[in-house]
Amino acid sequence: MRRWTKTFLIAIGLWLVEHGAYADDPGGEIRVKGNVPAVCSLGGWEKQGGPADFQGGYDAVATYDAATLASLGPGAALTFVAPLNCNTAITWSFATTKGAFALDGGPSPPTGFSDRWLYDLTAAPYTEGGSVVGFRPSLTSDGTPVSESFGLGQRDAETIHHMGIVFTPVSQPLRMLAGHYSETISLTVSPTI
Amino acid sequence: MMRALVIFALAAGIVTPGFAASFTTTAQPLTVLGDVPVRCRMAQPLAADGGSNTTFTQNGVGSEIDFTNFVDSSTGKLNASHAQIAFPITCTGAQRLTIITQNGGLTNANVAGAANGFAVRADYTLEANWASTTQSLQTDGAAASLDISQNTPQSGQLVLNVTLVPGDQPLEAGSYDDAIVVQLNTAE
Repeated sequence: MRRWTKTFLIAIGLWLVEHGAYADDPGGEIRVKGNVPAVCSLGGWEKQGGPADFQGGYDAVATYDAATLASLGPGAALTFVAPLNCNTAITWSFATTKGAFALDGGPSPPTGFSDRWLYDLTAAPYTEGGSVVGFRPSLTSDGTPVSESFGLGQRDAETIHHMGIVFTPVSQPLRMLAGHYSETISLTVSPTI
Repeated sequence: MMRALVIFALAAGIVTPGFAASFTTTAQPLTVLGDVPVRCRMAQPLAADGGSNTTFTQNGVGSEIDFTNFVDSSTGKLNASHAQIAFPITCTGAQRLTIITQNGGLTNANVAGAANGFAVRADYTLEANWASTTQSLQTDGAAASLDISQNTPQSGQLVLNVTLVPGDQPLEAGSYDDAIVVQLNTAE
């Protein structure tokens, strides 16, 4: 009986050592994470060229004075650019409000007169070197509002340096009704993820 | 695992009834021996300070540092961020302690490589403080490690500082991650 008791006490002692405070610990791991959201940074509009006074920014306004209006036609293009930086695939679109450089209100034009001035329009994303990224839509307005959208994959979108718009009033053979003419062209860029 | 041995050596005197009449005083020494093995113990990590732009979570599954304001939302460039994590450690003897960055930076596993001026890796400095010794590295895209082993018993906290290194390049959209592994072994 005495011998058995000794053995039991020693066994308890060994068990405590094995499972006690000094057990081996293999190590630890910490995951480190961060998320980069899909972002696009579109700067304000700047005028690169053309016969108009210009107030730049996000809601830019180009204004022809009466003398300039009289000279509009092919070759009198207005060119605008806005810096763009995207880290992901995008969709971009442009839309016109009236589909013409049109009179705001006023009577219907009598024969021989017109209340709208049609234009050619191109809009596209460009690289820093001036190359078009993807597709460059081009249209001649016909008085109908237009809205078009385009998609670009991540690698293409990342090469974009700026968006550009070229607005060129076409020849207007008719006399214009007196009044205030306007057209609004909107450009939208959206990250797709 | 080594077992500690507790040995009781009993030197017992033999008492023979026939000699009872000539009994004299006899020494009976009792020797108790024990070996304390070299063992190391590391507890679950703790957030050592509040950090900046950072949250730290620890549960039964694992530990995680999240950089909550990873990049500037308009430029896509890294924001300055910092996390400090502590591992309570006790070692009864010399120990090998290494800290490993598996990816060599927070990497975007879904993108093949950097292009067009965008980065797909966020580098950071990893600093380890243990037993009054400090070592650090800056990630560069390759797995790397810090060896901060000590030849003497130590008890205290291994403190890790993880600090993002803002760069000039914006990062591509996506999830970025790395694993920092702490390996602790006895040096016996």
